[in-house]
Amino acid sequence: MPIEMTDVERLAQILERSGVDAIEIEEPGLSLKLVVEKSARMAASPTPAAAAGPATDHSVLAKANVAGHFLAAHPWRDKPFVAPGQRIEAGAIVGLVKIGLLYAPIVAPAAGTVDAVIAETGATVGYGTPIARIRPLAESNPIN
Amino acid sequence: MFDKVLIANRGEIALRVQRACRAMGLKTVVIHSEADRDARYVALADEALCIGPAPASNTYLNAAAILLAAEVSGAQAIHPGYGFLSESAEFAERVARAGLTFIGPPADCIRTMGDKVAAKRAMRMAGVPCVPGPDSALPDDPSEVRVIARDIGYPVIVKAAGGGGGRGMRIVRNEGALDEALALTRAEASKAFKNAAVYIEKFLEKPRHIEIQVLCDQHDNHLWLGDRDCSLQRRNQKVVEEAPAPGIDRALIEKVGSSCVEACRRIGYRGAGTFEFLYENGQFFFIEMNTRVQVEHPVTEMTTGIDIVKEQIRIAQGKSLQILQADVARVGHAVEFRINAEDPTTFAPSPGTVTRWDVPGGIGIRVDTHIAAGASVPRHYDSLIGKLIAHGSTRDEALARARVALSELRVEGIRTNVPLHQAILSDPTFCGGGYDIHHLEHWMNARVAAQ
Repeated sequence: MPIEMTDVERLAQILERSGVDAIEIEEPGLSLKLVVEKSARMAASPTPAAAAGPATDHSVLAKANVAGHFLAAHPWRDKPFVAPGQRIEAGAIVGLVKIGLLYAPIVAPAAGTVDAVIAETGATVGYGTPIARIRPLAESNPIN
Repeated sequence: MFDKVLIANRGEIALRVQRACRAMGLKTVVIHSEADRDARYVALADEALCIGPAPASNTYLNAAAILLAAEVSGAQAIHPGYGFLSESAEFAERVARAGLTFIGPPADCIRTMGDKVAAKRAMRMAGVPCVPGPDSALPDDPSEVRVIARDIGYPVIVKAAGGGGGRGMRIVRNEGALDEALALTRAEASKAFKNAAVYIEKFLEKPRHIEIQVLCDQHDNHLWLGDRDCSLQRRNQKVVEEAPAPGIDRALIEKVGSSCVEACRRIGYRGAGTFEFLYENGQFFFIEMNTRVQVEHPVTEMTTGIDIVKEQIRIAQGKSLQILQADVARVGHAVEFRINAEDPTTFAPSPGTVTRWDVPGGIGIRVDTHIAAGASVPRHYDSLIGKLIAHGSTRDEALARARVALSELRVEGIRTNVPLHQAILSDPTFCGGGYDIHHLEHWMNARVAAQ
């Protein structure tokens, strides 16, 4: 039986309620992997550095790479993906761009501390629109 | 009926379409690349969406990104402009499949006309005069092709069925050169156009390039809006265009115009389109149809008073043309000079920041451009930055106005071909009108030799 979008939604809710991190379903010609992102569930750990004021020249920007409407939180959740002061890894999701029924992730180009989420939920963003400012860890290398 | 139009193009035509939409009370959405972010027409649109980095393949040629932008903005119609995706049957189909209106002809018309062999067959059936040669792709056997070529008589030209606009063709002057030309054109065609089919035609030595503008609605109304002469070309690129074509029997043009209308009726054409012809020794020969608005449409607008882009949009909205063929005016003469960001002698592109941009004006002068002082000309796209159109009651009056206007046009920061246009306007052959498509290159070579 093919998996419908409604099944995915239901499965995701079950996973989250029951505290299961991931599920993989394989059928002939079809495979589905759902991973509940833990970082979003973890309490943000504000560090004193976050309050140190405006970003230095070393900060990097997570940018949208598609035009759409910005969402700071997953549509099924209230809590934003990231908050100022939060430590994140390179590739972490900092928000979503909604294009009709599609949601495209915006990822952090480097590991570091979130300085600010610049875009506002619901705002129209385009390719290259700055979404979040991140202060990279000293030793981290931005991913391309 | 739509009230929000997404403009899937850039530069002067993006602004041209935007102006038509705004004058009609329609909302505009412009998509753009990062390189065009600061363009004036982007700021003037109701909504602007940056859909990718500078390369056209990521943006103006990226059908998926454009359709997603339509979804995000809620635009219900897409105007493709010219170039880019304007003559892609697949794009027109995808727009329709997404439940949006493509402001242009039906996809099957684009497909038929995109295949130059199918187009020629359709035109022959409608009684449009064509270049001598079969309206079918050539057989694989070179000996059969030799028979066909002998029948037509040398010189002949081998063309790619999927080509057009001067691309994918090779002149053959004698039978000894035929086999190699066939093989080369076939190989190029399958690589460049993904269609290895080639056809063969009589090669005309000194033709003029004359074209007929048509407008067709969805209610079986078909109009032709007169002719244009686009013979002043360099490497198959038009440099100066005018309406009407000087020195051609008007009764003959009427006949050709009527046959274009008949062809539109037969193929179920819709929207604006142009039939391109070669004209030699008092005869017209169809070469191809462009299923979109053209760069040189303003000269026809100036002589007929018809807003071609507005009519394209009205037609896409399902409205009827409100003019009868007999009421199509032809007033005076109009000439268009394409202003390119390029060196006037080497023709090397000259991108950069425009630091000064003084635009001429006055009676009979129209300047279609997206440039303002401070604008940047990206290196990624075509070098066309504007069009200066001069209209007068006679050709001489239009040329006189053009000379004044070109002398007022001041551009700094980048190089333009304005000096070339000024030199052209002092060429007696140009001023006399009626030159063939090789004139400009011969004249330029003679100038270089004289220096």
